[in-house]
Amino acid sequence: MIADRRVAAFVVAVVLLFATVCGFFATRVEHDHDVLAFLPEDNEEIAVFRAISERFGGLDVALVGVETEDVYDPGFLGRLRTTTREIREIPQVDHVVSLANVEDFAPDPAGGIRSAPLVDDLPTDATSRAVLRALVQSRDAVVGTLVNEQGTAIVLYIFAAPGSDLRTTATLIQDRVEAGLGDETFYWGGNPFVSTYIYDATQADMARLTPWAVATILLIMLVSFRDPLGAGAGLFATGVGILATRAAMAVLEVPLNVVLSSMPILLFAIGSAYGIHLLSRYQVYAAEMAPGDAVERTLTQTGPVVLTAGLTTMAGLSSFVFMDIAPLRTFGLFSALGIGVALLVSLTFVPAVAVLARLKGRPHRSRPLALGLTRLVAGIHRARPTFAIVLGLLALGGLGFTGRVDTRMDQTAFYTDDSPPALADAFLAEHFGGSVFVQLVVEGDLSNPHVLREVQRLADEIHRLDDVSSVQHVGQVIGLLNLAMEGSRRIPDEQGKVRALFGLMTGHGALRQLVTENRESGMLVVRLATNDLDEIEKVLSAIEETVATAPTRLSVLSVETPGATTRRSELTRTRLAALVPSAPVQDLEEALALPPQQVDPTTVAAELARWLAGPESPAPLENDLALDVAAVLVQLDEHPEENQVQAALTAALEVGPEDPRVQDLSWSVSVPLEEAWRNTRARTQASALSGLLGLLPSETLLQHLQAVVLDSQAPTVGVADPGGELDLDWVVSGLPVMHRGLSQSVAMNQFRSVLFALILVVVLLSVAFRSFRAGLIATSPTLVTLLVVYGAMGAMGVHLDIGTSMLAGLIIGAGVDYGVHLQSNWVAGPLEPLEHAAARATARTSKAIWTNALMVAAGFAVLTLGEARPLRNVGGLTATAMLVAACMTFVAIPVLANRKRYSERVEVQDPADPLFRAGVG
Amino acid sequence: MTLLSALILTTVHAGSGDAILERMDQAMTRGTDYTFRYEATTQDPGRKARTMAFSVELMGDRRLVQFEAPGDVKGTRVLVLERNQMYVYVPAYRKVRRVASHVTEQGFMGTTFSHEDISTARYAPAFDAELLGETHEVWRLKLTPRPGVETPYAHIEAVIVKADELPGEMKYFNASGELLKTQTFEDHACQDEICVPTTLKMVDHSRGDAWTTLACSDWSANSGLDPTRFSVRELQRGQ
Repeated sequence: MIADRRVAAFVVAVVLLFATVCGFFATRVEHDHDVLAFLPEDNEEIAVFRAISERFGGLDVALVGVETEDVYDPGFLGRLRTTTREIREIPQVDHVVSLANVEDFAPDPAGGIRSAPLVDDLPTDATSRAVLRALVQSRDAVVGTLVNEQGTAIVLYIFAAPGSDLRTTATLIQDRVEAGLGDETFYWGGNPFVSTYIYDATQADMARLTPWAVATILLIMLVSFRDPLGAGAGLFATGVGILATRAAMAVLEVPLNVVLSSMPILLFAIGSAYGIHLLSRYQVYAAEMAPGDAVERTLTQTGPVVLTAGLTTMAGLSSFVFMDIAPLRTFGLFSALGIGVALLVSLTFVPAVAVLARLKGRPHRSRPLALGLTRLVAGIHRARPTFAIVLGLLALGGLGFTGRVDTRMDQTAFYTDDSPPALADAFLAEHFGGSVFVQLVVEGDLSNPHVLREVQRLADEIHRLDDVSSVQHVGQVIGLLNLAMEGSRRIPDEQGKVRALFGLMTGHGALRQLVTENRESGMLVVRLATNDLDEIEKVLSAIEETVATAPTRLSVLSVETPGATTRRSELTRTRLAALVPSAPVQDLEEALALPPQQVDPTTVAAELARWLAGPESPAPLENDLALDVAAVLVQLDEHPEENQVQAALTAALEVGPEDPRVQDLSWSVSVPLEEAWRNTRARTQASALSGLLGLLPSETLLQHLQAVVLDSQAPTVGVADPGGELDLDWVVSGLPVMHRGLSQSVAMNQFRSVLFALILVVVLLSVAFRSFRAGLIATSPTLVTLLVVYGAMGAMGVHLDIGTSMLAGLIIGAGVDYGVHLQSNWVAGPLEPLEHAAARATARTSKAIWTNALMVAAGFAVLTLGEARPLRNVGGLTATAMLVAACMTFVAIPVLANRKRYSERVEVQDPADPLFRAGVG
Repeated sequence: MTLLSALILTTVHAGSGDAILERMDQAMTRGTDYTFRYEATTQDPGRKARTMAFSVELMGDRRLVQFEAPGDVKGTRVLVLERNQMYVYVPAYRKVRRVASHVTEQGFMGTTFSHEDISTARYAPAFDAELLGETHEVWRLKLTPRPGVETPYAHIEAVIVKADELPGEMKYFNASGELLKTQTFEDHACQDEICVPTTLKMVDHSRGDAWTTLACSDWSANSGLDPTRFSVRELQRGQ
C-alpha cells in the first residue's frame, strides 16, 4: 500500500503531525533530581534505611568542607559567621551548625553558666587567637566534628527543611558559601550535593554528548548508504520515537530522571537499526526496480524480520519491569515504547519517504571486506565442529569469570575519583576521621537513664572496634547538659532529670538527628575510619555482631541485688576501655579496684563557697563570709537535716535563726552541698584514676573519668533480663547497610531481568521462526555475548551496579537483532549445501548488521567521554557488547544452523546477494 | 472624643516615627504588671505540631515564665531579669541555674520566637523609627537598630494600630533585605485603658514558614504583683 504515492504522502503527513503533537507535549516533561528514587522498594534493609532517614533527616544533611590556612583567623571567622547566618536564612534550610554558631556551655565567672556561641567574640590579636584556639580544642564534641585538630579545616552541617527540593537547596547553599567565604577551597558532600552532582553531571553529559552521538550515528549512516535523505528519514523515525516517549511521560506525569535522560542516545543508537535494514535492502532492490516495487519487496522480505527484531528489543528493555527500582522500570517501559514507535515509524515513514522522494538504488558491490566475511562465514559453517568447540570454550570461560562479577555497591559507583563528591569524601577522611557512617537505631524509652547507659555502653563497645573513629549518641548531649546543670558530664540517675534536660532542648535542631521528639527512638552515628569496601564490610559485620549481643530487655536492679554489681563493673570497664583505648586490661582491672580516695574538705568548701557567693543563691554572701560559712557546712554530714544546717548557719553567720539569710540558705543549701561533696569526691577519684592509668589529666578527660566514678556509684543498674521491664530494639542501618541491600537488589534485578528477557525473546523468536530450536539458535549469539561480556567484567573487576545491571537487557534486546536478520536470510536451494545458506545470509545482511553494530557501539561509546560514572560504564560495556554480539552472530549461527531455511518468505534468488550469485558459494 | 483622638493621632507628621514608637512602647507597658496564660502551638513544616502551656508575669523588663505542659517541662520556671540574663529553676534538679546567654539563633523552647523576640519589651531604646506611611487605621514604621545595639535583624517594618497604639504586625528583615519573620498581634483586648494583643503569631520564613501561635486564654493587668516574685529566692521557692 505504501508503494502508492498517495498513501505514502498520507503516511508522511500523519507522522509529521504526530511528531508535531508529540513535540508540543515533550517540552512539558518534568525533571526528578532525586537519585534516592533509585533505591529499591522491596529490599528490607533499604526500606529500613529510608524510614530511618525520614525519621532523623539523615539524607537532608548537606556537608560543606572548607580548607583554609587558619580557621582562627578573625577575618575568616567573621566571614564564616556571616555565611552561616546567611545559609540559615535560606528558606529551604532548617538549621545550620558550624564553628561560627555552635553553642557552648561554660561556667560563668559571675556565677552559673554562660550559654553562648563557642566562638563569641572574634580574636583581635595573637593572644586572643591562641586563647580561642585552646578553647575550641578543649571541646571534644567540636574537634573532629566541626573543626579539625590542626585548625585548618571546618565542616558546615546544613540540614534541609523537610520536603525541600534538595537540588535548589544545594545550589542556594553553594552560592552563599562561595560568595561569603571567597577564595578558600570548598568540598561539597552529603546527599543534597551528591544527588545534585549526579543529576547535573548526567544532564551535562547528555547535553554535551548527545549531539556528538547523533552526529556519529548520522555519519556512519551517510558513509554506509550515501543517501542523506534516506539516512535523515531513518534518524527522523528514531527522533519521533524519542518525542513520543517524552510526550507520553508528560501526559502521564512521569518525570525525567538521571537514567531516562540518557534515552535519546539509546534510542538513536538502537532505534536507527530498523531504518538501516530497510534502507540497506531498499537500495539494492531500487537499483533493479522502480521505487514502489523496491519498497514493496523490501517490506515483504525484510519488514517481518525488522518487526521481529524490534519486538525482541522491546522485550529486552521491558524486562526492566521486573526490577525493584522504579526509575529503571520507567526507563525500560518508556524505552520500549520509544523503540516501538521508532519501529512503527521506520516501517511506514521510511518507505513512504523512499516512494515520495524516489530514493535511488545502489547495486550491491562486491567489496573485499564483505567478500571476505562471506567466505569466512561459509568457512565457519564448513568447520562447524571446530568452531563449536571454540564457541563452547569461550562460553565456558565466560561463565567461569561471570561468577566473579562483584555486585557490591557503594557511593563510588556513581562518581569518579576526581569528582566533587569523591573529593569531599577524601577531605572528610583526611580531616574528620572518615566520611562513611553506620547508623544504629535504638527503640526504647530514651528518657530512662538505664536505657541511655545501655546506649552509651554499646557506643563504647563499638568505638573500640577497628576502623571506627567515633560514635555519637544522645547520651553525650544529655551528659553535656547535665554538666551544665550539676557539674558532672554524665547521664543523670533520675529519669526526671533526663526528661527535664530533654524538655530544655525541645525543638533543638541538632538533637533531632539523635533522638525523636517522643524520645522513643534514638540514633547512634558511627563514623568509620575507612572508605575501603572490604574494610567497611568487615567493620559492619563486627558492629552487627556487637549489636547482636546487646540486651533487648533490661531490669532495673538495686546495686545490692546479685548480678547488679557484675553488670555495674562491666559498664564501668567498658566506659574506661573506650576512654583509654591504649590502657592494658590489667590496668583497667586495677582502676576498677582503686579504693575510694581521701577527699580534702577545703576543696569541697571552696566549691560550696562559689555557690554561696554567687547569684544563684537566694541570699548571696560576701566572698570571705561565703568561705567561712562553707567551711562550717562541710563539717556537717554530707546530707544534713535542715535544722542542722540552720544551726550551723546561725553559728557561722553569727546571727539569730530568724535572720533572712539563715532562713533562705537553710532550705536551699542542701542541694549545692550534696553536689559539692559528690563532685569533689568523684573528681578526686578521677584524678587518681588518671594517675594510675598514666594519663595526662586534661579537663575533658577528668570530666569523663569523674562521670565513670559517679556512674559506678549509681544506686540502681539496668541488667539484661528477658523478662525485664525496659524494652530495647536495635537496628543497624546507614549507607553501608543500604549499599549492601542495594547490591542484593541489583543482583536479583539482574537475574530477573535476564531470565525474563531471555524467555520472552526465545518465545518471540520461536514464534517468528515457528520452531523452538530455531528460536534458541537465533538467541545463541546473544547468550554467548552475555557470557563473554560478563566474563570480561568478572576478569577485569568491573562491578555490577545500578547502571551495569541494565546491560543484560540492552544486550539481549539489541544484540539479538543481528541473529534474527542473519538467520532469517539463511536460505539454500534444495540442491545447495548449507554453506551456501551461510554465505547468502551473510551477503544479504552483513552490511546492515555491521553498520548497525558500529552505530550502536559508536553511540554508546560516546558516553564513555562523559563524567557520570554509571553512564561511562554502561556506555563502554554496551559498545563492546554490540561489537561482540555482531561477531558472535557470524560464528554461532553458522555453527548451529542446520536447516535449508528458517523463513518461508525469503527467496533463494534475490538481488540482495549478488555476491553469492557471483559464485562465492 | 474618639473622633478627636483619631484626628490628633492622624495628624502625626512624617519624621515623628520615634514618637510613635515611643507611644507603642507605652501602650504595651501601660500596666505596672501583667499576667498572661498562654497555649503555644509550634508547627514546623513536615513535623507534628508541638504544644506547650505556660504563664507569664511581667513587671517592667522583668518577667517570670512558669511552664505547665508538656510533662518534660512542667514546673520549670524561667526568670528574666535582663535581656541576656535569665535564671532557670528545674524541679528535678531542685536548684536554680543562672544562664548568662548571648544572642543565639535557637528559638525559645523550640518555638519560632527567639530569645530576642521574647525578651524585647520596649523597642524605642533599641531602634530608630522612620514613618513610612499611614492610613486612617495604622502607621507604618521602619525600625533600624540604634548604633551599638546588637540585634539579629537589620530592620523591622512595624504596623501600629492607631486605635490602641499596639502593634498589628512586625516584619523582620536581614541585611540583604530578605524577610525573615512576620509577627502578627491579633485579637486586641482591653481592660480599662490597658490593651493587649491576645493572639500572637510568629512565622519564620527562613524555616519554611514554620510558625508559633501564642493564644492567650486569660490575662490581667495591674493586679498588684509583688516585685519580690521576680527574684531568685522566689523562683526557687516557686510561690
